[in-house]
Formats: sequence, C-alpha cells, structure tokens
Amino acid sequence: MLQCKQLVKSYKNHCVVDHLDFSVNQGEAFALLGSNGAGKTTTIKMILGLIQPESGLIQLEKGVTIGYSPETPYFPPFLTGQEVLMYYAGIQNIAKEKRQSEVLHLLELVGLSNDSVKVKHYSKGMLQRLALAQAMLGNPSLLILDEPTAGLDALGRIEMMNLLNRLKEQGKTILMNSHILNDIERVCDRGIIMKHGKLVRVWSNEELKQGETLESLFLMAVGGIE
Amino acid sequence: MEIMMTAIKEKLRRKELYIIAGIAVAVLMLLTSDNSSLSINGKIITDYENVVVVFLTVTHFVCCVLAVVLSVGTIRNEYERKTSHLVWIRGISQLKYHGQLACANVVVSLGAQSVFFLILSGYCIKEGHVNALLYLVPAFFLMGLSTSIISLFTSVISIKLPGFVTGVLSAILLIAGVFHSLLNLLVQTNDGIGQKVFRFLLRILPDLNENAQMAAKVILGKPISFHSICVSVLTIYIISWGIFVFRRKEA
Repeated sequence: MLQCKQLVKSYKNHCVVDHLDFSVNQGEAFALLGSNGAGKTTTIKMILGLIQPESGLIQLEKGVTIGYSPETPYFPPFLTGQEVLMYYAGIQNIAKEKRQSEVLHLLELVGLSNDSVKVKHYSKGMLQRLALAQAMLGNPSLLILDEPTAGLDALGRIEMMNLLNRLKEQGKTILMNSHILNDIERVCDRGIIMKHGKLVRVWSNEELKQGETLESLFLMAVGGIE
Repeated sequence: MEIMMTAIKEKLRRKELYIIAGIAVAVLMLLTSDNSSLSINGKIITDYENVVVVFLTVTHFVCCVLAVVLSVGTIRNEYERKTSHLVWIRGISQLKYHGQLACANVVVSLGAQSVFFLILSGYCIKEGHVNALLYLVPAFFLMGLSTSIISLFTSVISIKLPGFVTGVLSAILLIAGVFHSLLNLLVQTNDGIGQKVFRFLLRILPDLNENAQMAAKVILGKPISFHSICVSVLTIYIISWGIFVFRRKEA
C-alpha cells in the first residue's frame, strides 16, 4: 500500500532521515519506533507531503486516501467537537447530505457522541479522540497517527488502544509512531526501529510470539540507554 | 468558504479587538462631544464639516492600525499551531488556503471600521444631517480601500516573513500611506541619497490619506477625484498577486 525508498531529509546539514526504506501492507498496523530525534515525525510529514524529501521515493498505491492525526492536535477552541468535524468535512468536500451522519457516527465511534462541550474545555484524551475522528473523515484507507497516546493517562491510553484495535479489525491500515512500546506491542503487527534517521531494525509480531519482547529488541537496536 | 468563516469567527472572539475598538470609539466620541476642545490654529472646532473631516482622518488611522493588529498573526498562527497540516493533507491549495485567510482578515478589518461608521452615523443624525447617512455607504467603501490595502499587505507578507518583520513592514506602509503628504513635504526639505530613497519609496507607496479625504468629501456632498480610488484599486490588485506568488515550502 505504501512504499518508502531511500528517503533522505536534512535540516541545516544535519541528516534527520538517512536513506530510509520500508513498506506498509494493506490491513496491517505498522509502527515507527525510535528515540527522540530519530526522524519518525519527519518521515510521517514526508509521507503526508507536508515536507519534501531531498531524495528518495514515496509510493502510494492508486486510490489510497490518507487520514492523519497529529501529535499535538489544535482545534478552534470556540467550536464543539461536532462543529470541528463539520468544519473539516466541509474543507474535505464530503457531500453535504452525508456530512451530518458521518460526523455523528465518528463521534460515537471515538466516544464523544452527543457532545456539546466546546473544544477549549476538552481534556487531552478527548482532544486525541477528536483528532482521531477527524483523521477518519471520508473513510481513508490509510490512517497515519503521530503519537496517538501522547499525554494520555492510563485509562485514556487503554481506551485509545482498544479503539485502534477495533479499527484494525475493521481492516484499516494504520501507520503510527509512539514512544510507548507496550502500546505498539498491543496494536502493531510490524515495524521498524530508527536511530539518528537510519533504519536499524525491522521487527514483526512473529518475533514477539517466539518469546522476544519489543523492549529487548528496541534496546538491542538502539544500543541500550545512551 | 469554511476556512474563511472559521477564521472570522476566531477573530471576533479576540478580546484585543474589542478593547482597542472601545478605546478608539471613546476617543472619537470625546472629539465629537459638545465639550470638545479640539482646535486647529487655536480655533475650537465644533462645526459639522470640520468634525466629519477630523473624525474620518482619525478613524482612518485607527482602522489602518487595527487592520495590522488583526491581520499580522492569522496566517503565521495557522503554521505555528500546525492547523495547516490538517488543511494541506486534505488537498487544499496554498492559494485557496492563504486567500481565504487573507479575505477573513480584510472582512474583520472592515467590520472593525464599520463600528466607527456607526458612531459617525449617530453624529450625523444628532446634527440633523440625516441625508448624509446615504453617503456613508460609499464613504465606508472609500475608506475601506485603505483598510483593505493594509490588511491584505500584512496578510500576504506574513505568508513568508516572521511576525516581527511583517509588523515592521506593515507599519512602514501604514505611516508612509497615512502621512504621505507630510512625508513628501519633509523629503523635499532635505538633500542627499536618503532623500532620493525616501522620495522613491513615497512615489511607489499609495497616499492612503486621500481615501479618507475622499470619504469626507462624499459625506459632505463635495466633488471627489477618482485618482486615489484608481490607485488604491490597482494597489489591491497588485498586492493580491502576492497570494499567488508567496508560497510556503513546508507546512
């Protein structure tokens, strides 16, 4: 579904993504792992077209649509969750007659239904759920989630992971990055570990089933605690 | 239109707008009150014609300042808050995105200007010049030319430049435009390279104060010159091209 070939991106002579290769298959949950500054978010931004790679190729299968949930979502604070989704549905050109029903369905899916609270009163968890709902507008085939559990408390994380698992069961393809290895282990089938912009290891659930833990794979790949 | 409407709603919720407009309206009401001590050459101005001219001159300056304040952060904030990410990924072109945000800035700036014209209409009624209300509409649009120029210029350069630089350049345009005749006079009294540079700048920058004068003439039923209107419309047209030309490399 998605292929990244030899991606390179530098900022002021500092290479943040260095000849990165990976591919995401349809229906799987794929993780980008790495310490701070490993180049995960930059990779996501290049896939989204928010920044241009210096070299390399990003190939998306024909007809693939992308939904994106940012790490720190900001929505107009004076709008309600429903109004935010209606706004994004509007700029996404979702047919007017479909908008209302789709927005209500998504709000219910992320647990924000019948919500008349303005976004400025939202908790971090509610914002993350709203961000996920806006990412799912228009039923995209690929969901890209940048730190979907960032700043959430334990309960919020569990809810978010359950929600992502439900989406996976429904056949959604998910590409996500997270620092929280337990979350990745619970949702993702496969992934890569990055260090200083380079791919240092590819891992899959098969390895985890054979007794390895993601934590040990990660520590081996990044060279322990620096 | 959604981007523009949401940007307008967000601006209308800014407290600064109401604080600045409140102070400005209070000052203008003081100027037009019966106990006003506004004087020119020692002569206290109370007659209708002079008050209208002074009122519009002050309003013109205040509205241009408001246009800068209201427009300087709109586009920059979108990129700083990364709301731009959620717009870009939906395939909205930069032209459409920046264009709608710039339009929102112009609409809100004109909205702020309309508050001053409401005060002015009250003054016209109080002075028994009810027929002048009809002329307030074209006068509003004449003065709106200046407000639009300042707002649009600020919006366009904020696509590429940081907030501080945008503010400084907009302030230069504002001062050069509003005090155009005065600066022209000052430039003529000096010599040297500086004078040539300033003279060139004043030649390419529009005389915005002429719009305020034309607005006053319309309200007072005096003939107007179309020169300043043509120059202002042309300026708006040229600045608008900036929305096509200035683009961000990254969201």
